[in-house]
Amino acid sequence: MNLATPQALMLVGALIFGLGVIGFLARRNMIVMFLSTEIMFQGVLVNLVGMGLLHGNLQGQAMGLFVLVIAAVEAGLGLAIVVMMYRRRGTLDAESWRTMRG
Amino acid sequence: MENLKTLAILIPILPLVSMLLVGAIGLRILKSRSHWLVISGVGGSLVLASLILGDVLSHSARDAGAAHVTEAESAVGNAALSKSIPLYDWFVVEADPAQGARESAGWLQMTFRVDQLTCVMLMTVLTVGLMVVIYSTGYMRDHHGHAERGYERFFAFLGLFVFSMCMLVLAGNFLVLYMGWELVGLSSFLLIGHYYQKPEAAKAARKAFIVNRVGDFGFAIGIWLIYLTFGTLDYQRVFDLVAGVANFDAHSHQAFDALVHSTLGANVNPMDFKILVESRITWIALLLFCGAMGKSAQFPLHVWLPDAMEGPTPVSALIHAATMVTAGVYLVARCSVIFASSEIAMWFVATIGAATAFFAATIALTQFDMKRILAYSTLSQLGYMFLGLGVGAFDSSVFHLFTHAFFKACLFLGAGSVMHAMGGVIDIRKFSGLRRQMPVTHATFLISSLALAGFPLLSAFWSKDEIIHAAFESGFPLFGWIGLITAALTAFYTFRMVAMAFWGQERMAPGVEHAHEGGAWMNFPLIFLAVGAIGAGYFGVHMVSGGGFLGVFEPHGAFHHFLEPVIASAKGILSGHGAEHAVAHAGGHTLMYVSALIAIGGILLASYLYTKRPTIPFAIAAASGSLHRLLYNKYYVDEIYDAVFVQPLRRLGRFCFGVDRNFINAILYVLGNIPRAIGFGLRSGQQGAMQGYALGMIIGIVALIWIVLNGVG
Repeated sequence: MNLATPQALMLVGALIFGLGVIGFLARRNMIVMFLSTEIMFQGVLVNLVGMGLLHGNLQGQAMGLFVLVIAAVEAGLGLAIVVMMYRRRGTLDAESWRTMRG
Repeated sequence: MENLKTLAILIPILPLVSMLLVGAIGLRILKSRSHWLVISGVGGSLVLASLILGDVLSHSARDAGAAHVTEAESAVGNAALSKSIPLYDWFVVEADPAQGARESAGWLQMTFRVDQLTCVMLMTVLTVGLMVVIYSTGYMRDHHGHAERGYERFFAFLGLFVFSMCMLVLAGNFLVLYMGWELVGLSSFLLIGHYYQKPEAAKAARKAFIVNRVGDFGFAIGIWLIYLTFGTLDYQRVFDLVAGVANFDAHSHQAFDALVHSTLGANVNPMDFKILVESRITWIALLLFCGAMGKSAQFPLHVWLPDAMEGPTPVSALIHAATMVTAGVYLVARCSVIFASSEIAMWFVATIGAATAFFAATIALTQFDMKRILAYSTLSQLGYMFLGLGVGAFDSSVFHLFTHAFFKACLFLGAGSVMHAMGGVIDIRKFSGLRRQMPVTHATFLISSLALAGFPLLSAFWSKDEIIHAAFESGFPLFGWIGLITAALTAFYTFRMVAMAFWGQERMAPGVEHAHEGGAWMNFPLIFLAVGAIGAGYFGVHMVSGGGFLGVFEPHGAFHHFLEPVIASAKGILSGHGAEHAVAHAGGHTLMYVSALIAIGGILLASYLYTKRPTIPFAIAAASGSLHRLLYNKYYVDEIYDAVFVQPLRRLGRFCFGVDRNFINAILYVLGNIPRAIGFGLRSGQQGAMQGYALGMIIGIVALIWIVLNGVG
């Protein structure tokens, strides 16, 4: 059984993305939430590779590499923000930022 | 003519510029030097007005010198002088595209008019104005010479007033007149309320403004009626048409037809027009007089003037004695042709004048506030002027206006000096015997009081006597008798005030140790105006070598000859009505001796009673009981107005406020609460937690995808 079909890759991508969503929604620790967003990213990347395979060219993988680089940059930025937020509140609990309560 | 136009434009501009400059930089830069700008502005205008006067005098002299020229030629000379000076097109009153845009009759022009009456008014206003501005420089300071709060504001508004008054007297059509009329009302309001922190002053300012609105409402309707009837607001055209109707001669009406056709257009039937004018002229005159009654504070619109004394004393002197309140007299004199065409209007003017003269004089007998006594005296003197106008003695009334300006301004400024020295106290019961400590004020006040009382050979003697004389000759001698009785009352109340304030035992107001004069700034105007109070009358008398009053004086002098062209047409109409108004003063000397005796008698009686026997007046007051209370409370006019107008209006206002608050506001509250309720319902959805929003987002996306894939159904 050939696992390297577009359908299989997209299914894996969707699963990874779904895991990321669940992690983001379920956890309160901001670093873990941030990691969950990264996992969602990776799901999308796998999806991109699957799209490339579907079209039979390398554009999907090339696109994936670009997104990977941007994701790395974004990760640095995001972590910096999380660090700043930690310094401000002294905790990583996302609940501590729940100030805009109507 | 060009020269005259430039001068006429500059006269109001100079005070306006000084007012704007003081208003712009007075508070920051000029501060207590603000007076220089206004003094130079008003002084400059006075110089220009003298130039205009010289110009007009040379015109008049040319006409008089050429005595042999026919009436028509002389009239042409005057017409050239009194023609309107158009400045610019003001606004369109009738858009008529058929006519050329610029020169069409549809444009209402900004016009000035310079004639003899304008000159008299300008000279009066600017001379007294200059004196009052100079006086204010000393008055609006404390005893150490520091300018008081609002100093620059005061001078800016004085400049505004002089500008407005110049506009009023220079106006060449009724709308410009109305503009000046409202502007002087505004400056009067601003200046009465100068001490706006004082509730009485703020109230008095509002009262003056509102009472004037009542009169001006009639005035505005009158102007509208003039426009409806004559199709123009230009003085000369209106007056020509009115004179044409009044002098209409059934046998030779070609001239009238030509006049109507040239002014109103060829398709107007002159006979229809004549009937229209005759039916409306009385209404026009009465409505115009409505405005005059408000501005000149004639009964029943007089209530604002005594209260206006809450303003600074120089304002009372300038606006509420010498100039602005005479605007009504000026209006009637200016429109003498209109008034002369309606016997009812003339009768009404004379009645109101006589009634006010008498009624105000009786009130003045019982008051104790020096400025209020003077205010009632102003009412009374204005009543004389209207009496004179109403019996056809237009020139005598303007002459009285002229002399009155000097001595009444001097009296007010003298009262201001007293007030300044007494630390703001003006009640003549609280001080007396200031004669020794304030010699200049006493001397000038005494001279002006003698003038006001009609002491022989001082200014008001000549002018007042002419009015009384004309009243006796009006065919309704009661007016003359009222004039004589009022003259006696005037002499009495004036010297009651002088005796109580300046004579007798020396006594200062509480808290004041020494009375002192206000310094040169205040003394110079007093002396100047006192000289005017003596000398102004001599413009209106001429010397004869025998047979006159005291052998040499004959009324109707240069002043009257100077004014002759302005009122000639009105006099012509009056004599045409059959009443003999062309006053032959030959028999008038008896009356002059009588009124001199009355004045001297009143002066001596008051002086005797209030210096030697001060208990007698109180005994009389106590004995007369309710009469004295009636006079002391000013005939309860204010109370009657309060009950009849003020309270019902206030109740109406309260009712409207209630409707506004309980009905209209309630609707708005309901409307405003709808979004608030929606917000209240939706607010609980906003929890502020990141993950909550993320969940919502994901649910939304999933729903969207579901809809895209499966459709809404």
